[in-house]
Amino acid sequence: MLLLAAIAIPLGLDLYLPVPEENPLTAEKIELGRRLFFDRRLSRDGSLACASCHDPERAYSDGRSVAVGVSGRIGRRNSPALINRGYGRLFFWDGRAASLEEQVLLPIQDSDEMNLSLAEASARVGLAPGEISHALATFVRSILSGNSRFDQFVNGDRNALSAEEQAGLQLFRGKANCTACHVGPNFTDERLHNTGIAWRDGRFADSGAGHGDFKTPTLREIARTAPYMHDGSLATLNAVVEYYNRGGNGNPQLDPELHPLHLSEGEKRNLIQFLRSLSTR
Amino acid sequence: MGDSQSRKLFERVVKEYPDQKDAVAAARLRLEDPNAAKTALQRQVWTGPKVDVYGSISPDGRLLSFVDWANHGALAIHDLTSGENRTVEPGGEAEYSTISKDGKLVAYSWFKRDVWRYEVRLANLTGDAKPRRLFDNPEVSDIEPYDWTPDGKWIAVGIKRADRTAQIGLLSAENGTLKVLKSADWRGSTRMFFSPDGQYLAYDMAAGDGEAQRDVYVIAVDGSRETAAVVDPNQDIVMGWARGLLLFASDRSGSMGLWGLPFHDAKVQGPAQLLKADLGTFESSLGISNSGALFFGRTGVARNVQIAGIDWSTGRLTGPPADVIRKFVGSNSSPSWSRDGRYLGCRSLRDPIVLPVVNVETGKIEREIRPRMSFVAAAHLSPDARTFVVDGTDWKGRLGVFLLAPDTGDAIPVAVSDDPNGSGKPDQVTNSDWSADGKKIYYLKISGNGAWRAFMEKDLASGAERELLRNWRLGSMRVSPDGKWIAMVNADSADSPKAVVAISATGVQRIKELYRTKAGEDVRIDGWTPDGEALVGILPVSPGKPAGSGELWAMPADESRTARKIEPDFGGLQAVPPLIISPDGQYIAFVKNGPSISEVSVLENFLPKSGGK
Repeated sequence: MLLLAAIAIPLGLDLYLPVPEENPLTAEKIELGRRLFFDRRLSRDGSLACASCHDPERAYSDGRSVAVGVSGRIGRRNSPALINRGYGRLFFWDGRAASLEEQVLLPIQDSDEMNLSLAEASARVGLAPGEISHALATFVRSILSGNSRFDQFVNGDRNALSAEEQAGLQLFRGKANCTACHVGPNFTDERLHNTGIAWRDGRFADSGAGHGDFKTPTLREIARTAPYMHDGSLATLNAVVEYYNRGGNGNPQLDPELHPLHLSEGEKRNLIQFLRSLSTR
Repeated sequence: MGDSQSRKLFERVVKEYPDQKDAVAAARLRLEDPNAAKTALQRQVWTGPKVDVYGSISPDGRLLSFVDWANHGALAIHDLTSGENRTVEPGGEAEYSTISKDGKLVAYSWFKRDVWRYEVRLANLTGDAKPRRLFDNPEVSDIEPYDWTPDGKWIAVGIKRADRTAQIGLLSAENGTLKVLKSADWRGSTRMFFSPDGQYLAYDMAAGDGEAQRDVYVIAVDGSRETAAVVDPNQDIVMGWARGLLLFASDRSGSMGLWGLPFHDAKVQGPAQLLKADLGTFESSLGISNSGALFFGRTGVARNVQIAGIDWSTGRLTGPPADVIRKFVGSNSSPSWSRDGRYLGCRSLRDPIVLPVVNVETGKIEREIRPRMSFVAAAHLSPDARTFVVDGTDWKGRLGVFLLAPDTGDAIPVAVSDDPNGSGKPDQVTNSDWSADGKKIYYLKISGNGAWRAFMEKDLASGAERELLRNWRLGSMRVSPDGKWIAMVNADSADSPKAVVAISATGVQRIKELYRTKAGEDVRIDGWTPDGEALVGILPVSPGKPAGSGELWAMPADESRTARKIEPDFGGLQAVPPLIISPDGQYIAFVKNGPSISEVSVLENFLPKSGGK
């Protein structure tokens, strides 16, 4: 009841948004979390806020290949879009956090990111670490993306997608096998997969969760979240589709769902057109 | 033992063994109602060939909705008092149905074969049924109505989206508006039940993507919260609500018992109470009547795999048939041999499904593979007896042919059904089998519009696929023991005779016709003799004939030899065809049907005097 009063669920998403019992969602907490999200005091040198790598104008991603932390430290991974994470089950590319409340504190403390102890963060903003965690998690939980043209299409407006986009949707669900992982209202199975993207020169450049596997990202707002993959190594949607079309980088732990797709040039175009329909602007 | 003595013992259990929750729950039940176990009454209320468990009970406990499969899938009502059946909507393909709380309406799913998806219909249960469409959406491939709110305004539905996502939703009974409460993994709930006040919906769900075991949850119908009501390592299935208790079946005490969980104000109010120790085998709850009687049921036939020695020169069995798999008795079917004939694999249709591999000589089960799949329609043991290729549905909801990882049972797609043209009618893949060397998988691809079937081969090492044969109709196949030939039934059109063909499986594709049916004949391929003869049953066109009816011919693929008729004498063996012949031709394996186990039961007088509040 509090949840429904605080935020509106857009078309296409589940009415039930999981909220932990110990951190109820309120409008006041969303607002506090929003202020913390943009607060540069949460980084050691005061140069960065969460929003520095999760820009609302880029669907809460940053446009860089990999994140850049305090003092220009270069991270290992791409800043993921913080879209519909309230529905998530795993957090970070390697799934190492099991809740938003746990996840939001880790970048603050990471030496390659904001590099600030929780004690100091607490002192700077005058909130206990638990309060910071709850507020930031609540704000992130309130970032929702839905009511795209795709959502309007599946809700009965059969003209919401062009013929090319509908053909792309058919490929997405069929020949291109995208729904093997990008499934459900949020276009992710919230599982870890080895797509081969980390396989370089006979070894994993990043072992991810252990076997070169990384969490399936949402595809909502994908037109606004380039570059792609956990390392930002693919600059465009075209590059992503080409990568999967050739079946990914073969390696001993490659997910069995990956195989050459044999998409024609027209099919690739339609697939990309469809992917763009998942963005709201 | 006297009541006072029993009471002392139960009190000791509660006091001294608090860590043994199940025992304590059972003891509390006895303390609360010492007569509970004595008065609970479980009895069959419907048996016979018409029994079906897709429906629900009416509030007065008198009517049960069901699918009348003998009447082409009509929606029907069975009167438990009079034993009479009546049709609500004929001539279609009904599936899940639920009767409204005032007993006046029934909502049911209805398969639309022309567009290959389900819609929801409503019909009156009194007067003119007036079946009418309530919901239809091209993006919803499957929708299953499970329960009505007490005010009759909403129907709880399980949904499968076009991307195979399973969802829990509320469907307006007034205008068909759909509200999606929650998306789950690709597998949905077995059933859903509204709480008596209509504010909550109880459902069960797989514990995780990698789990077959289920847990029970309660979600508020306004989406505001969800409660994990029963989450534990056991199999927990939602059964309904009664007297302040959320009812669920669980195997936590060893057998599938009925438990009641006090639930009020979105919270579990106390430990679960054991209400009935063993419900027996059942598929799902059919609901609870106003008087608090729980209805549940199951369908099917007990099946076992047997083998028998056979002499193909005489066509006689060399000994009596024997059960070869002595575990999972009553649920075994789909036998297949290893290349050396030492092992036999089969499918045990249990929950979860198990694929045992038995050493035929010793009777020892060498391994059990638990496929991580929703359903296995047929299983084929690999030539080396390490794993299976199966036809079925994986946990992602995909129909197709899958190779099982020997250690984990993970389903690796070989080929899955696809809808390349977006017609809504996907091309199906099924009828898989191994090449003799285990390096290739054969399967049938069936076009969604029924225009053609293609016989496909996939090389497991390279992933390369090729089409070996395409025609209007292709039947199941049998690979010869030497791997050189594949026998298959083939037809050019619906009106043309069927041909039995042998397809060369090595090198250059070559097809040889072995037999062509005459008017009034049908054919079935049973396998191959060790001498390279395809065993072809030539049958009168009359379904349901037991094995051994008609004629059995051995038709050599080698053109220099002639076909010979075999006079089989199976000694009255009632086997379900086909007969699966061992690679050396010495044995046949087959499925023997037992008695029907289809029944609907009711459990009464099982509720404690006080409920959960």
